[in-house]
Amino acid sequence: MRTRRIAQIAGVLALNPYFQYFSTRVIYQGGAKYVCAPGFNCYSCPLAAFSCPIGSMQHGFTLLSLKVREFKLAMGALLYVFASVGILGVIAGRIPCGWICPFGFLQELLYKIPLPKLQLPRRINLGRYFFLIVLVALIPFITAQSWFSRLCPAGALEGGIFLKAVPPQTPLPETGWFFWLKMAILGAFLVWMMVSKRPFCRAVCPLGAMWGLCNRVSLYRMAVDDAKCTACGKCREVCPVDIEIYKDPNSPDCIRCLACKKECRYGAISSGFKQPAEELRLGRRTGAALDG
Amino acid sequence: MNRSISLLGRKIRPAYLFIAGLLALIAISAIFDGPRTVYTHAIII
Repeated sequence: MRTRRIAQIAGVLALNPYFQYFSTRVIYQGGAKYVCAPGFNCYSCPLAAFSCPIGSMQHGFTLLSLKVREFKLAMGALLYVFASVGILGVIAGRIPCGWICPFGFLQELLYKIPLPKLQLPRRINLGRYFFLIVLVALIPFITAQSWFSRLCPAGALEGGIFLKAVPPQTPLPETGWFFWLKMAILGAFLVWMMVSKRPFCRAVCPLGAMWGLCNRVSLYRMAVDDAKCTACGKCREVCPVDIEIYKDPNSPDCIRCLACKKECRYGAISSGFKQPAEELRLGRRTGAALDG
Repeated sequence: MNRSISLLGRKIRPAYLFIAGLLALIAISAIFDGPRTVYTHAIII
């Protein structure tokens, strides 16, 4: 757990290292912005060094739209972002969600606040596919505007509030009702994060949706040994996304934080880039096998 | 889904094929100026 916390803090700093902004008041424009960030991190944050994969993807869809019709640029952007996200996903699955993502880290910290907790239904995990298809792809394609970015709570926090507090040299647009709408969305999410485990990651995050699908095929594997697992439920208690790993070790919902592996007193959970022996022996573990 | 597949007489994990395909996509995207498009948008926003 401590190692993961250090990795998460390092992730925040690695994705947002441009502290020169405080003296120059100019947003970073160096070569690292060619690279998509390995996590959900707004690139309108003045400290951000990398591009937001979701913002970039939406930009690709807006270029593709009938209003803009920049087909060549759109293809370039979309292929580049899909492939960049895909490579990391095929290697590691959702490891960046559990170990690097600054917005995921924020959610885990807020959940520590002692308040009554609210368990979310499993169906809510389908929400992130809806946001990926509708708000990231379809609506930007139709309207030629990046609507997910415009409403994104991470953007409101890292970009909106930060830029208002420490404005850049270039004047910002007037604060209108839309800014306050973004603040209301951010506020609602912050409250939700205090009472539910990583709600944004589970219900909304389009990046998590894509990396989650990669969990099924990634080089990094999780496995549960049927012979050792007693289904005691300890793994679910410590899981930041509230899943039962023994039912589906490579579930798209798992962020591979490995808290369950550490918690399991029977040593039933294994993981690694080498295909774990349990997985080779048993195939994918299913709930049916466990219940039977 | 992650079981090894046979290719030219050798067993390989499908993930390696995916990675090769995605690297090829990045190379193709460079022809269409993909990285620069992402970068330009990042500055504008």
